[in-house]
This record gives sequence, structure tokens and C-alpha cells, in this order.
Amino acid sequence: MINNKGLIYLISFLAMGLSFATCKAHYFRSNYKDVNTLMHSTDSMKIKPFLKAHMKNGDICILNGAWLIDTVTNMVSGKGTRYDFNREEKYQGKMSVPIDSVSIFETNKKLINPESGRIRALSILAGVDVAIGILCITNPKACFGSCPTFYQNEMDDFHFADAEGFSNAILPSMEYFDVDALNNTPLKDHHFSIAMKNEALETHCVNDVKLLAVPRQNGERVYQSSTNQFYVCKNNYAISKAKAEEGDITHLLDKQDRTERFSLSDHHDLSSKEEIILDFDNINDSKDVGLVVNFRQTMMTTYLFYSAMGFMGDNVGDLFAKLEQDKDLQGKFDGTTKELGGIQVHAWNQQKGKWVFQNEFSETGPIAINRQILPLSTQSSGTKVKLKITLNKGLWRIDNVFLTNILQKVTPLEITATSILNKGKLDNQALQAINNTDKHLISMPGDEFKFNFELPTTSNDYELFLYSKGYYLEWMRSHWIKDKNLLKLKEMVISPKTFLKSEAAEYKKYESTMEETFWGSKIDTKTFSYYEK
Amino acid sequence: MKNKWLFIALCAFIVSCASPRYLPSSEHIDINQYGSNIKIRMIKGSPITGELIAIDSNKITVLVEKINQCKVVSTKEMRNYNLRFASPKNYFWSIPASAAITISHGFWLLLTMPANLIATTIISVSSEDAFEYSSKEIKLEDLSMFARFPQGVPANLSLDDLTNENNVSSGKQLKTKKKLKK
Repeated sequence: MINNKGLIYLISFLAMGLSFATCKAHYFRSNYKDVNTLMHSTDSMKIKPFLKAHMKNGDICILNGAWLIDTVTNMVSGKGTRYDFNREEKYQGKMSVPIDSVSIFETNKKLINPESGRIRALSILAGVDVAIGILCITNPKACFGSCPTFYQNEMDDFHFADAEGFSNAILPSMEYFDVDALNNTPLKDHHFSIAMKNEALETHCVNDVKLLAVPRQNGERVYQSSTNQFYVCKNNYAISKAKAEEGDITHLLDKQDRTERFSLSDHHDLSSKEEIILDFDNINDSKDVGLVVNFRQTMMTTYLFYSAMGFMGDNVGDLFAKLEQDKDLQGKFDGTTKELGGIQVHAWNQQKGKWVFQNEFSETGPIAINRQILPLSTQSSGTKVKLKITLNKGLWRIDNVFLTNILQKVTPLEITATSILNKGKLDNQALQAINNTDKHLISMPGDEFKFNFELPTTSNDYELFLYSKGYYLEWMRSHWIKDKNLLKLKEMVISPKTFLKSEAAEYKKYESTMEETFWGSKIDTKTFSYYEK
Repeated sequence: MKNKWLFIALCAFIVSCASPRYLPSSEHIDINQYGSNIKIRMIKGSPITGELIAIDSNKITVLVEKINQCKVVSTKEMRNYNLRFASPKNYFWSIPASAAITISHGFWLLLTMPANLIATTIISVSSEDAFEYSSKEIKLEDLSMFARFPQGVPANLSLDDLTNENNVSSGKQLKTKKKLKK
């Protein structure tokens, strides 16, 4: 696999290769001081080159390919142009030049398509650009991101986002807070920074950004549940076997390496479910076990959201205003997401001989990988644990699954930002907006804010989580207006299950190529600093 | 601010790449009546740029573009040179054009814009020296093939009489010389 930088280098080297492919034609020009050598050199040529006769007086005669040398009269004759020593035209037409008056004859080989390499490179580039452009215009849902993205390393791109905030808050009234595990490496000091970027065509209204910190000892990790409970944990039990419809997927789930397991959606129903069976055979301590899963969504929910926007067409303003005021409608608008559901976990109860529902993981967003824990209520007495996860086909990407022992439930410390940098400059207004619950920090496309935090010195190391609260306003794209279909929108809201069936074929048109191309160009060369014990 | 300087630098680079009018396109190198364009960097002093008029074993005659007059340079005083025998095609338009097209790529733009910028810059820069030889690529004795007078300056001519009406700043001086002749 190649990563993003690899792809950039590949395109660049391709361009370079094609550019230099034709490059310089060395020694296409020949000079002849005597006429015999000229005759021998040009005799075998099917098409005679233009002949330049450099005269002793400084003039030049340029004869086209029909020139002749008469060795009897010692003349060279043909059709062409004569220029004086300053290269002003003296004569044009048929002419005969005494060979004795010529100092040097010159011929030139034609340069064959000297620009072909560069034109080919530009054509390929333009072709790829147009193809991506068409793909994005016809399937805009797949090309435009959503919600603010957060990075511990501000130079990272969205493939390596550490968190994405409040993905479902598409209206002021739908504002909520979101907590994401930052999965940070051991801290070197008590300063911590995180960059927030707006990488989409949206207006982000950020009410709050703060850190939730839990002190951790060597060998301990702290995980968060989907209901934002925090657990200090110890010991990791890797998966022994994982099986899905396609067969053994253990190698995809046993490590945190961004090699994710995902499936494609059902051809006939976007809400079709699938199962994965997980076996853990080496549990040393079966007391208080929790399942930790690293996961994120595919592009499906983004597609559905943009579909809804498109169906609204030029009514988008009115409908969003209605949505803003009508809480019941808000609940229905989210119907497709509810229908798709989360990642449900069942544990095998050996005594009862049946699967017992534990709980579910859920978090919207296709960009940042979430890491959450689910405490298992069905305790195993032996060394083996068997789990079943039920999830919507084509909706979830799972990177890593493991079990851990829960030591205790904790309440994290809340750390507010001490300063905010806006594109490198101190921004006190932004800090005031973040620290005031009545105000919002407005972030427009391309904006980037860096939040600086000071951690308490009472512990040398902390597990950090990002708390972000706010909402965002999606920008309506002009080409979406053409997709206006209020009947479809109505179906989506009133009967999400039927809608997910009817939309399956449409989604299928781009799913495989888009998903594979977009996400397949990541990982591998990125060196992860995340540590595991 | 950074972008502004980058834009100015790019403009300056594009302007500096402008070719003299007497250079033919690559398709017309066989019917061009002028010498090639040469830039000579001296061991001491500023570089000399102009049409290559003639060369012999120890000196090069160049019709300097700025003054439209010949200058004779000793080969011993030269550090290196670049010879351009045809006008390169300008591909710099492709840099902003290819960057602009990525706007339609959504968040793929983060990947496609740098790729496009790198690729088109490579293409544009490579086109600039496509029809150029450096002193490492062509020997001094082979330079004469690209001179206006490969046979050397004819004995009957005075260097003062040589001009090139296609020199960028030549128009005014050319008229002056013609008036003097009258």
C-alpha cells in the first residue's frame, strides 16, 4: 500500500519522468566545410533537411529540402531565402549559389515532438483531476468533510486526525459535547497543545474545547465508554480469532495499525446487518473485563447527510429553520442514523447456552478513529471469552479489538486552555469566546486554532481526552440544489428503513471505488508513536 | 504575507525565463537565421547575455541584448555558460490552473493540490531548459555550430555594424544606426 505522501511523490516522479523523457536532443546540428561530406551525409536521407549556406561575406542562404548540388558547375541551387549579415531578408525565391562563396554548410535534424513528454504528463494530470472533479460533483457526499478536526501534531492531515468534534450538531439547537480519546503517548512535560482545523465547507461554531485528564501509572491506560464513563485499566488480551462473513479477519483486528476491517454495503438494503465472532483464549484475569474497540465510520453517514441536504434543494433554509424549532422533527431527521445503529456487543454465556446483549459502541464520523471501552456484564470464569458484534454492513471500520481488566472508574480533571493561537498568533478574543459559555468561537474553512494547556504537576503522566462542544452549519453547494426531491426527503424522515432500501443502489454506484481509493492511500509509512503495554 | 512573497518570486521567475524574440520555436530551428542565445558567467564581473555571433579558440563574440552591440570575451575569463537554441514552451499557466481545478475535489484537495503543484512546477521548470545546453553538456569548440557566423566573423565586416532588430531593447538604437548610415 502507499500513503498520501507516497502518492504525491508518485505523481511528481511520473511528471518528472515524462517531462524529461524527451528533453534534449544532442547534436541535431551538423556543419560541413566541404561539399563532398555534405553530399555523402545527406544522400541516404529520404527527406532532405533544410540547408543553410553560410556565405563568406556573412550572408546566409536557407534552402528548403529541394536543394541540389551541381558538381560540374560547382553550384548549389534551390528555393529559399537569403539574409544579409544583419539577417535582414535580401531575397526570396529560386537561387543558385557558387560553392566557392560558401564558408560552411549547415543542416539540422528535426526535433521530433520535443514537448510530447510534458504534454503527456499534463494530459494525465488533467485527466486524473477531471475524473476526481466529476466524481466529486456527481457524488459530493464523498468529497466534503464535516465537523472540526483536531490534531496533536498540527502538521498531520485529516487521515491522521486525533479527534473530530460534534459531528451530529448541524444546527444551533442540536449543539452537544463530544469526548474523544486522544490516545496520547507518555507526556514529556506539563504543556500540551492541540490544533483545531476547519477542513470543510462549513462554519464551525465552537462553544468549548478543553482537556479531560486522568493521571496514569506505568502500565495503566484509561478508556472511555460510549456514555463517557472513564475506566483505569491494566493488561491487554489480544484477540485469538476473529471471523466474519468473508472468513478469518484476525490479522485485521489484532493490532492497532490502521489496517481496518470493513465491509461493503448490501446491494438491496443499506441497513442490512452482519456479525463478527471474536474469541479470546488467554485471559489471565477474568475479573472485571472490558472490551476495547478502535473504530470509525465509513462514508455512509456523510453520504446520507449530504443526500438529505440535496433533497432539500432550494428549500434548505426554510427546512433548517423548521428543524431548528421543532424538536420532534429533529428526532425524525436522525431516523436513518438510528436505523443504521451502533456496534452491538453480545457475550456468550456458557451456562445459559445463549448470547447475552452487553451494550453498544457508537460515534459518528469517518475521519478520526475512536477508542472506546465497553465493560462486559457477563463475566467468564475461565480463560476464554467469546463475543459477537453485530453491526451495519458497510458502515463501520474496525482497526483493533482487545480485552482489558478494569481497575476502577474515575472522574477526569477538566483542564481549560491557557492560550489560543490563530495561525501562529496569540488570539485573546478566541480564548475569551472559548472560556465564556455564552459565546462561540467561529471557525471558517481553512481556519486553524492551536489550543495550549497546562497540566497539573501532581502527576507526571496523564491519559488525555478532548472535550469539544458546539455545532456547525453546512454550506449548501449550488450543484446540490439540482438534487431537490422533497418526496425522497419525506421518505427519509418518515420511513428511514424504506429509504435505506431504495437508496442502496445509488450508494453502491460509488461506494467501492470511493472507499478503497480514498482510504486505501493511507497508513504503512506513517510511524505511530502510540504505545501499547 | 508568505503567499505574497511566493507569488512575487514566481512572477519574477516567470519574467526571468522570457526568451529573446530572435530564438525560434523548436519546430523552426532549421530555418532560423540568427545565432543561439548565450549567457556567459565571468570569473570576474557581471554575466553577459546575447546572441552568439562567433567563436574561435580564445574568444567569443556576443551581440549583447541590452546594448545591441558586440562584445568580445576572452574564453579564459569565462566561468561557465548556457546556450539556448530554441524558445521553450511556457507551461507556467498550468501551475495556477491545476491548483484551481482541485477546488472541486473537496477534502481530497489536501492531497491533490500539493501533488498538482509539485507536478506542474516540475513540468514548467523542466520545459525552461529543454532547449538549453550548459557548459557541461557542450564543449567550447562545438559552440561555433550555434553561432550566427560558424565560420567566424567575416573579414569584411566590422563588429560595430552588427545588430539584431529582434533584440528586446534594440529598436531605438537600430534606428539611430540607420540614420547615421544615411
